[in-house]
Amino acid sequence: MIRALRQSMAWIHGWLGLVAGWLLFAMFATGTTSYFRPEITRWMQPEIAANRTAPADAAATAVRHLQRVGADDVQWFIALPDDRTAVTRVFEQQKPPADGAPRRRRAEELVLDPATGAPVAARDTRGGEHFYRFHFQLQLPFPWGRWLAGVCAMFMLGAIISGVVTHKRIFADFFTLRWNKGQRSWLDAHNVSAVLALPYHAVITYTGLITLVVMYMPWPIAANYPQPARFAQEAYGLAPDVEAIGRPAPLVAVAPLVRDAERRLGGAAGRIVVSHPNDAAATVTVTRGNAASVGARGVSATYSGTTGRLLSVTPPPGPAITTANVLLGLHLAQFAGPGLRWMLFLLGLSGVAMVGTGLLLWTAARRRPGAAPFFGLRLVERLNIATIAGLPLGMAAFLLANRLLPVDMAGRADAEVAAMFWTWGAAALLQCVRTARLAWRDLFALGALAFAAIPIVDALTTPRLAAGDPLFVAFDLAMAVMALALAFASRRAARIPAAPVRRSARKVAHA
Amino acid sequence: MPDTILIAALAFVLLAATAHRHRRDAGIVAPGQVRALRVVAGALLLAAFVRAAGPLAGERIVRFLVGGSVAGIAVVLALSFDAARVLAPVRWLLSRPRPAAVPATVPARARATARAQRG
Repeated sequence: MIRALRQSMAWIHGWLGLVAGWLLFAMFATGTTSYFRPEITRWMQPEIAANRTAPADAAATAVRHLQRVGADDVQWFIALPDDRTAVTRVFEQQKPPADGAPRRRRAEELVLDPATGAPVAARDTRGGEHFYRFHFQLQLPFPWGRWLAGVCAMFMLGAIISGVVTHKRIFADFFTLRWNKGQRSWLDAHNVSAVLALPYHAVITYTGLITLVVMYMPWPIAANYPQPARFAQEAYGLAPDVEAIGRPAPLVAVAPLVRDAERRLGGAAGRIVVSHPNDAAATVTVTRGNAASVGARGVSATYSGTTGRLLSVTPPPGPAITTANVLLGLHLAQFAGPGLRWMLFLLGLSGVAMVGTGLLLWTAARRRPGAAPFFGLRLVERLNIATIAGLPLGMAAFLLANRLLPVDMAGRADAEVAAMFWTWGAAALLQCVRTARLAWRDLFALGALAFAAIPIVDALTTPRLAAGDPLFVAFDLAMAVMALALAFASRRAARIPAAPVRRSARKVAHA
Repeated sequence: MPDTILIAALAFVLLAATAHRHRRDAGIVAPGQVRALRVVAGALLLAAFVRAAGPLAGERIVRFLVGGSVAGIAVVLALSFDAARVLAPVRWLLSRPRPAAVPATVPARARATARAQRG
């Protein structure tokens, strides 16, 4: 019975992994990259210097700017800078016109210099946000991308559980990795990357699902609350929305409020929401940044916007919300310092390796020496090449486009994203005219060249690398390492596999 | 973080030495050695857990699991290239002659026997 169970699990493991494998590979690769989301954004906007302004001062300069451009707004959302983020990002919720006419303009996110509050003049780019969004939205319209990512995450979770059950010698094989043995080597590599980093894979998959669980299962909230916002207020202890009175009153200085909130909440401020600025009912809500705890949702303090009096502090959340916060925090890892973040990045790469070796194992297990590959095998192999070798090329194209497109080009951010997908798509199509072995070799080689070009183009187009900016040096070094890894893969892929030596042939040779 | 990874890697090297695949490379000849290595490896993992403390509540567990996973992958990669060299320190440790057992007090019966032999 155990044997039958293992066989069933092996079947499930194989097919769950195959059906979702290509998307999971892309999700793991771009999600792993997202550990350095703010750093990638900073690299992609070399015009912006590192932040040296305290959150309270950045809040004051941002409010000063907003008083000039949107004094009668309904709300201001201000994301404050920190050690990793160099700019203040603000969003205005504008007041609808009283006569029912259309709004003046669509409010857009503003990027401000934390020191001066002036809008920052930097190249338009999605930055690291592109990889982050792609890893759970898959460049599809809402909500289809998120649903598809959720289905893939469910498949991944099923594959993890069935993989553990089906692995008969999980402890015996714990320290086993044999090179140059064909299918056996792929299986060993798949096992090592999966089993040794199993806590990471299980946590990142499960927490990824939990992150969007309210979207996947909205019914409990819909059945118990008239609006989802009411649930959020009750669950997270948020201050209830208040209406504007209509009586003008000057807004208090926000910097002292931010400092007071930081002292009360035990961590640097990450976000401010100013409701009804310059109205007698104005409130200022300061939320703690995510670096202060493993849980992702920071606590907040709300002050009167006219007197500066503390109105409320979010109460300690209950066990369920605390658990959800920790799960979300574990997935985002915004609490992690540089060392832990690099380690998580390496484990993310082990996830990429796990999915990639699993996909390769599927084809290796079905290839028969001397027999022509059947259609399904050829299809899977081509999709493997397009995904495993094509995606890195597309990602490199995205980064290269950031440096090569004109800085003031209209629609620049979209063009960078288009560069990634056009390159990836072209690579996926063009590899079909080569044999599989040459396609692997060529795409890996092209990827190596593209990644090697990134530091060179960076040095030629921006002065930051030459100036020895640590972030730029580290980023370009990482690109060089990536180029070396792809060059190694290309070299290995180019080798013609040695024909298996039969026992009888060996006997003859030794005679 | 580096010390957590290093200590966990040491523990994994000892555990790898006790695995059937690597016992010969590690020079293990007796079941008692396997048990001893496993106990030491367990103690090292405990030490890694203790050293994994971070400034935030709960961060210790994350750092321990992450450091342990990275160390495990690194050890397996190293073993795959040259297991004998990786396990050489374990082999050296196990092959050292054990100090002769010097009893703190000679049993009374042995003393009497020795006295009788001396006459």
